[in-house]
Amino acid sequence: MKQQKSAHPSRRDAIKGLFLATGGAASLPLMSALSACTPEIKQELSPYMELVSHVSEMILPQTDTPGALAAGVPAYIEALVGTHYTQDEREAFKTGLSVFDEMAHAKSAKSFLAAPHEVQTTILTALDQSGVAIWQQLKQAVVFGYYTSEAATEELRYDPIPGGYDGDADLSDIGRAWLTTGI
Amino acid sequence: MADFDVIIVGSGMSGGWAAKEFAEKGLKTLVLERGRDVEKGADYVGENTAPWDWPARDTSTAQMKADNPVQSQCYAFRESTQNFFAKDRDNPYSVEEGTSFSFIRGDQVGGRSLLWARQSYRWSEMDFQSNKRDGHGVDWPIRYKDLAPWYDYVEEFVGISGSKEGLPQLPDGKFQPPMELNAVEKKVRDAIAQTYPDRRLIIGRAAHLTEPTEQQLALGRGSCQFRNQCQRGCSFGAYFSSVAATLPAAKRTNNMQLVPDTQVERIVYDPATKRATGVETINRKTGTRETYTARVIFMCASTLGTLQIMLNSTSETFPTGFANTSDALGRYIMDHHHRVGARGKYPGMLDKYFSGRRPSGIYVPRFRNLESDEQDFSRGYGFQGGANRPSWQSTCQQDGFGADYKNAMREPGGWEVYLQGFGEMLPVADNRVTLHPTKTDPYGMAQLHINVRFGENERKMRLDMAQTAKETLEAGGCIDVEAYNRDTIVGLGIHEMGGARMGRDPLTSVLNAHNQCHDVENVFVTDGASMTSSACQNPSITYMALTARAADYAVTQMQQGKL
Ligand SMILES: Cc1cc2nc3c(=O)[nH]c(=O)nc-3n(C[C@H](O)[C@H](O)[C@H](O)COP(=O)(O)OP(=O)(O)OC[C@H]3O[C@@H](n4cnc5c(N)ncnc54)[C@H](O)[C@@H]3O)c2cc1C
Repeated sequence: MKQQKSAHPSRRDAIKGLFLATGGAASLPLMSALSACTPEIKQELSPYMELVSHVSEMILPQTDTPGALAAGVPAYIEALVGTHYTQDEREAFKTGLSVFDEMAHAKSAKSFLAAPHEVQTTILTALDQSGVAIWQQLKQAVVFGYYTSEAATEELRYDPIPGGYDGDADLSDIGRAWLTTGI
Repeated sequence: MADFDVIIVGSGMSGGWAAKEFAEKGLKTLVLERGRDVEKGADYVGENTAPWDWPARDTSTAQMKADNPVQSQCYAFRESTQNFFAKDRDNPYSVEEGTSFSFIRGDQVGGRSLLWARQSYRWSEMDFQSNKRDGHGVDWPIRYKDLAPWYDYVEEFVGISGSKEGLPQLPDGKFQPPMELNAVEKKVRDAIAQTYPDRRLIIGRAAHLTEPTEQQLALGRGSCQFRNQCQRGCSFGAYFSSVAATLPAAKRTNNMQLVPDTQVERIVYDPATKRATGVETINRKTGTRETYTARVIFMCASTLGTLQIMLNSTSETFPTGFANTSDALGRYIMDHHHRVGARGKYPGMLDKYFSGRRPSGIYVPRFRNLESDEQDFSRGYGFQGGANRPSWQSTCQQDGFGADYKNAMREPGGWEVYLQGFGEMLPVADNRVTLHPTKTDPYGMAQLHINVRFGENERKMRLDMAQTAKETLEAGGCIDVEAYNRDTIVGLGIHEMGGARMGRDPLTSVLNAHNQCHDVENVFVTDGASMTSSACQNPSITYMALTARAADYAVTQMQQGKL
């Protein structure tokens, strides 16, 4: 056997072990075989990214904490769709996104992005109520990408090394929900 | 002369204990482990890595599932822990048509002691008498009093946090301070006691240091930090694993040699002396074959790992498997059945929350069939569970978007309480493993062929489990309680046991009261293969106690020149 490392690792040592974010993609039930995210796929997705970014920020906007854009959610979704989706899933994703423009047209706007903010809000409200698949998929990806990003440590309570357990804590002392739940 | 006093096959939960005991008693000890070496800390690659540091944010990707269709069925399998799970590719096995078995394995120094959920419950007198009482299986050759001092002994070294409850069906042990029940768990406990005084809700007994002893500190172990990411490995050494505790204890004696990457293929038998002389191995990296000799052999390769080696060790004397005159070898395989229970909401208490991630939950010890079988099934079950307030993973399911939606998720969800049953499985002769006649693993060793299924007793018990879980939560004050009874696959309990059972009669059992082969006195089996019945408690602490007890016996016999 090899030599043992330090006998008494301290809390600070453990915290020092934390690395910086590298970005990347998450697994969602939709995912299937991993394929390389090629420049071609990046190119293929680029016409959709402005819409994805805009809707992401509408779902989780900047408040007194970072929003989806500052948290890098669009890049996360691009990697998710570009790296983890199959060709078919990617096509379905792209086709699905057309619902935003279609609904904008019905409200006499040129496109979703060109529509006034109130119209955009009305459309998202209708989508949220309808439960249409692409909306659910996008909302889930935005939420997952956001709350697994480093930015979310500002939004919710984060403590990598709690050091103890208090089972009778007052919520008012903690203030917000915990970001991580452990295994 | 033999190369070693003792060879221990496997370096996991039980092998680590054998290594420590023999090495500390001054014997020249060799530990053979088929997996790679694991160094505390340095090889805990998943530790202290935040979700955003993982390519797939610490999930199990479709590719990971495709590569490891079996291991990925385990709840703990994800990017940060997968390095402590075996690779399915390297560990093929076959199952009987019409049955399924999910074989969750570790394949490294430490075995599954790195991955376990650390729940540690003693067996009771009732458990050692159960086979005799209802006639399923053979009688255990030992009783609680035989193992009690060894439970004491291992618990003091391991470090078990827990509360003393004075329950005959779940004996108290040598505990470090218990973890705390949270505010709702206390309420639920008190309310249940009003309706069902025999259904006790207690804090889980878990192998975590809450007040490390001098002995533990000297091994570089420290207090639990309540991260609840144990399966990645813990540099604090706060939860028990052989890597953190028993192997370092063995190593510091300088009497132990641990050889990783070395798969034991067979035990060599000498008909002239009626003893085993050693083991044949293959180095998994180089393919080199070697024979190691020793006076005594301890089989600790995990239940099915040990059985694979024993079934593979045929000779003229033992044509059907090592020390198998009884024909019990490979038979009476058991697991615990679970994925049955109930969940509900606890109203109110919204001003209460918790801090820290408690790496263990609550336990409801067995309350069925304690004195006699008053149900339409034999044996019993316990519940594990807890009360929790979910975070964004669940609160995100509300309608809406925008700042209001985001702000709403700052609030933790309402309290939820759940109970999950772990039930005893009866020993049945036809639940067995054999060697596949033609299929081999990548190293040329015959694959196990597994033919195990749950039976009628388990099916009936599960109906009761779902029912009592629901009524218990309701009595505890929960609302919207839903019982569940999901399909479960044998093996997913990860408590596989039996196959070389202990017993009084050499004609019906493989091992005697000291985990020693009836047929070959210098070979011992002290992992789960030795179990004569399964009880309903998580079994590892019992394997540890049996191992320490058997090692003590073997050393005494060796010192007296009898072995
Ligand atoms: C996710 C999970 C949660 C669990 N939770 C609990 C719990 O809460 N409580 C509990 O009591 N138990 C729990 N268990 C089960 C527990 O891990 C096992 O009971 C325990 O590890 C078994 O100890 P063992 O020594 O028999 O086998 P292992 O710990 O599996 O070690 C066996 C070792 O032998 C090696 N080996 C196998 N074949 C050979 C060979 N041919 N040659 C050389 N070496 C070989 C293996 O590589 C391995 O390292 C859990 C398991 C898992 C995976």
